[in-house]
Amino acid sequence: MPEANPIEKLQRRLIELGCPVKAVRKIVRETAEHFQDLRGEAMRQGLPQSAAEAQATALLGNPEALAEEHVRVWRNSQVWLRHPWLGWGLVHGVLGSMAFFTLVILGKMEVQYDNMVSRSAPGELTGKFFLEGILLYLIVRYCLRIAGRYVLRFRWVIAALPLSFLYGVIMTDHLSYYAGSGSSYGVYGEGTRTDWMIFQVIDHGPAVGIVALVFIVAAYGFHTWDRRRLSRMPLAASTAAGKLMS
Amino acid sequence: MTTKTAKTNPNFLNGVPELLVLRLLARRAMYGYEIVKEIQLQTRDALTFGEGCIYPYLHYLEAEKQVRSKRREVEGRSRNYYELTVRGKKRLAALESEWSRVTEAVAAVRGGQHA
Repeated sequence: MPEANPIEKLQRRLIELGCPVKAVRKIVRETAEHFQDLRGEAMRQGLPQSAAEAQATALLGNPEALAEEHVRVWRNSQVWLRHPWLGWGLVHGVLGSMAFFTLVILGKMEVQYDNMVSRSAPGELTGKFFLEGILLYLIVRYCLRIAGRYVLRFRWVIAALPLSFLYGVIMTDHLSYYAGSGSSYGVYGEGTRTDWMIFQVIDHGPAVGIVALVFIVAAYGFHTWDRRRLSRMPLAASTAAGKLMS
Repeated sequence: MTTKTAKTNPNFLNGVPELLVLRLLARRAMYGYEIVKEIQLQTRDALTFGEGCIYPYLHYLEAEKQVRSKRREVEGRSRNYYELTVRGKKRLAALESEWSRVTEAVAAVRGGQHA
């Protein structure tokens, strides 16, 4: 199998790194034009074509490293990718709120105030927060992994969407917020009267699950379609940029 | 960007590529290859861009809206020409002012050495 030319290598690496198609086309075209200029200059200096191409390839630099540099620059140009935790936190907050209000509007959640004796034993509450913490950590790790692998920010935003939605649903299954009056120790204290704001998902059954499933299927479908689109993209040799090389 | 003798970027050259590229584009719209050659020519090869490295750099400036690119056909060849934006002009003015301040300060110290 003949060795791929530097432009093809550049394109392959850009695709592997999940660079958006439009950006791949622009980078490949510009680099191919630059390669052609370098080769032309070398040939004008009297080098035969093969030597001129070798010189142009050497001057252009390692195509894989070049692709990674393009991706690094791309990442640094996006606030979401420069600060993925911040980005994810915002997305999570916005989508969690949207999920919450959607459930309220759809009548799937009721909100009530209650003044009653604290119902949560300290250990019970700690366990609940601990489990939610682990769940949140795993989701964040997953989204950051996606963010690290892909250049295009919307991929991980879309991936975060169903996860945030699901997390919102889980969180709002039955949440009781301490609502102000009384001692703050009332949250943990047994027998202390406190005001509670209770969010209770009514009918936490198929309807909510189906909506969450639609989000997941849509995100997975988009992701698969985008990957296939990238993998089917013709390599530089058969494109206009590739023709510049010949 | 590299110097002819050292293959790694000296720290004090931070910001120089931006200054040079913006300065060249302030004169006229140029494409990547032209920018690299112009820098080599004008600095007499004292400073050179890695040939392929100019594009990530130009794309960064484009993302920062300091330059914009347009496809143009010149002498039968279609190329991506980069030109300065208003934001790029402001950035260039700031960089040039900063550069003057630094070089004057360095010159003062170096002059003091020989005094």
